[in-house]
Amino acid sequence: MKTNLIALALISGALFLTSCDKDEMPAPLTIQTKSVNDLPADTILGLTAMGQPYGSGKYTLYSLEDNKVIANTDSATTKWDIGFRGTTIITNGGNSGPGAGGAFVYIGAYSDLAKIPADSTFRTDNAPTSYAIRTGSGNGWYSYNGATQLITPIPGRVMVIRTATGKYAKIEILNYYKGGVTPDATASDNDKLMKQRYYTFRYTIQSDGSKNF
Amino acid sequence: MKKIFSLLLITTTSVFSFSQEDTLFSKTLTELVVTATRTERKLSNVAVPVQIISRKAITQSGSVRVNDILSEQTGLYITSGGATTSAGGGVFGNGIQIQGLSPDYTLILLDGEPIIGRQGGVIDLSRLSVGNIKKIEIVKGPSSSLYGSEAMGGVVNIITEQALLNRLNASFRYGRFNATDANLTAAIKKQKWGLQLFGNLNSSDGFDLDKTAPGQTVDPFGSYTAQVRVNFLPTEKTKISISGRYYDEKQDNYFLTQDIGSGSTIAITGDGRVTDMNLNPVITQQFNNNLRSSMRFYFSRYEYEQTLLKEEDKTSYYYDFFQQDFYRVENQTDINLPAKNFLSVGAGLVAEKLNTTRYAGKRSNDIRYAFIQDEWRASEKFTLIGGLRYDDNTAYESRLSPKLAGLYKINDKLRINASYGAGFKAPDFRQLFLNFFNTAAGGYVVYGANEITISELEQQKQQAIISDILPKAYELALLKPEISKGFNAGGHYDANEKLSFDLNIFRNDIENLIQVDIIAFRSNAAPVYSYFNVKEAYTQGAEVNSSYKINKQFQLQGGYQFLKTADKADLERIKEGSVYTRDLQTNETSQVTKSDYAGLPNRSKHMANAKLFYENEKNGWSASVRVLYRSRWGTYDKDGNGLINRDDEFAKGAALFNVNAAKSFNGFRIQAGIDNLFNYKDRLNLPSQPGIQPYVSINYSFIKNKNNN
Repeated sequence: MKTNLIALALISGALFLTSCDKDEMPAPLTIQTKSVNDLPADTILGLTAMGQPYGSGKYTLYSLEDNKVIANTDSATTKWDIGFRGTTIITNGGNSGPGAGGAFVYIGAYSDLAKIPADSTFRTDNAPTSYAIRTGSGNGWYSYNGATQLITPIPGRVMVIRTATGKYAKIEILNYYKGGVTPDATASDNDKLMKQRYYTFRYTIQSDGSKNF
Repeated sequence: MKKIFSLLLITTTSVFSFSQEDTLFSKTLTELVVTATRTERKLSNVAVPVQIISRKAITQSGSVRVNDILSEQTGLYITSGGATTSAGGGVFGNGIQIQGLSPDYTLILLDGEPIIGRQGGVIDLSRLSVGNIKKIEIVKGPSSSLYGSEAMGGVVNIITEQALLNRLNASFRYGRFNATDANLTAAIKKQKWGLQLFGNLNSSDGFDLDKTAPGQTVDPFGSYTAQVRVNFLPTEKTKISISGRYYDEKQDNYFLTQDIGSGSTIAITGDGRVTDMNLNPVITQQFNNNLRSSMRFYFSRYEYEQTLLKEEDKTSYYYDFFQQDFYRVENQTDINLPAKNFLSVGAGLVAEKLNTTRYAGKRSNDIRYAFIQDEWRASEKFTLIGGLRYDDNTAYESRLSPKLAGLYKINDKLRINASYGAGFKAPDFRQLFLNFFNTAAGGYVVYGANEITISELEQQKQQAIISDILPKAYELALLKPEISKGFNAGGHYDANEKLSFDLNIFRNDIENLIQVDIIAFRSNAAPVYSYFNVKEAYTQGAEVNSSYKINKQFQLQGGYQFLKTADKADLERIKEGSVYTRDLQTNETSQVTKSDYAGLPNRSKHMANAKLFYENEKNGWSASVRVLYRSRWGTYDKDGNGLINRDDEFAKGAALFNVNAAKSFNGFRIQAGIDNLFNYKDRLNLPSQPGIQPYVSINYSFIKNKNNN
């Protein structure tokens, strides 16, 4: 009961804060929150003779600062901040790109993350053995249910990103399926495969270089 | 004459009555239980929670299959079979949950011998006709000290009829969806031998809950059962019985599937078939008043075969074959010792063999076991039972299972009992022997724990089949059985001759639950899985039953179970504060608290039943109204936090109403009834529930005996 009350207090506090942001204290212009719907990320083209789904194998690169997709031909530049291929997410740093990118997964509500904790450690990519955003069910941003064969973003997991140019952003993946709706457990295998790898997410970016959102 | 009478009575029970107190004569007066201690005891002398379902209750409820009658008992839940019967795709079938433990953890016995053929861990109870069942005994709580593997949540012992009187009975039942059930029972009883024959035919057109989807929800199916039992009493002190049973079930399959990628539609047709047979000779010798010994032999074979073809060109789409053989020889010796100690000792050998397309070749497991149990009647009021069993297995780790139970009769009206026991379940065949390369969904691989070693993985890595070996792979080991420790405490109270209450409180702690985990990645990035003993869970709750005889004709029964379950790792994660949920409307996340957490899926917190029975022996009329309620239950995780907490992750609770009436006259018994009167359906969560089902049945006894029904 006590924890309930605390949770309620936290939620209502959070609601209060966000409403303040909107109505009374306009957010500084350096902070921008955006939503992205149905971003394809190496969508499935078919099955191999072995029955394995395959796509083009290419990452969809994205610029958080410009809120747009960056062409793969620019993969060796700092134009992009984050890339998506299936469930794997890369950042423009480490051995993935020439930028200053890095990331870690924060556990908590998106709105509760107002300031990146000072003691946070940003990880960088060392593909294919390790990624800043850990791969695998339950390790990073998603969980895979073997019984329903569905992928769901884990609630309360926020990816904290350092962009290619060293600015900070937070991202919450909301859905992995086309239209932003996870198919029913009873949906056909075809639906589950052909509708997956479409990201719906929201992100907040602080362009003044500080760690405050 | 008296001797013959005694002999007749002996043959009605599967084990001799033995101890001084439980005289043959008392059998006609009180209910007896054999499953609780492996020796026949009066129900009032049993120290563990037991439920008995009588032939009469089965008849009055108009049940057809074993799952029908079990579903109406307090605290038992019959899990939904999915969209098919066991023959129609091998998925699960109707299993039983006891004290919140999954069907995997309940031992199902037929006349004391285990039923084999689990699919997905479940013995499909609809394989068993009720037509020749004398009674069903259900022992709740861990009972591996007597029965070994699978007796974690409890034991269900289905006891069939033996030739007691000359008898010839035929019955036919017809219900919605062209559901038919026909039975023929014949018995010949002579002085020294008896013969019992039973046949059952069961079929249905199946049904369709979603007309917009192609094919039916449940395809047509049909089965037959034949059972023969011979009893022979060569001397007064020797009893020989041989019983054989054969079951054959077939289900047609027809469905449409989409070709992944192109999206074009393919029609699939074919059939599934389950056969199941067993043979069980038993010889029992009563050496003297204080010593009796039984040899039991048992063979059972379960076979499942599914052949699916593409309708267009009749080429193979899917083929699955699974054959399990089970051989057992066992001795049980019961000895009366001084100071009112009743000792049972036993030992046995089991050989299990598997032949299936699912694993690489044939596999086998051998078990050697021994058990001992002492029942000490310290006084008229106090009985203490201690037991121990050791199972030595070749394919997985061996196991020692203890049990301690006590019963105290405070007075004529009130008795209390408490018991503590250990249960275990052997790793199942797929956990040991699976060798599965999935070609349909991503090319992943699953190895049973006995099918892969770390050196084999390292070899695969050298051959570049595998790219990465994960730390988990170094933990690969001989699997341990899943184990439970259970505590039960309760009592029985007779308020007066009409009103009685039963209470039982239980707690089961389950450890070493086997779960799949990733051990490596293939070079194409697909995961490689194997099995580990990792999970811990608990179930706890309370069960209350009450019975009230309103008058000579009416009887009212009520029951309620409260149940709480949890995966202990989930509880830990909630405590840490790392579990969040996502609001369906706003997409905002918030922390999950312990009170939001629903525990293990497919468990209802509240289950209740109320039954009213009417019977007038003078005019031959009888009737019943039965209401079965189940509160909401968790289905599967949708918000991605791995546990059940959000409202849309639950199926709605509901009450089922079953009614019927019957009239007996001149050897006939005609019954008409409606199951699921208010047409309750839940297509997504209970696809095996077809809705309202009216039926009529007729039963005729060619030979007039009082005992026929």
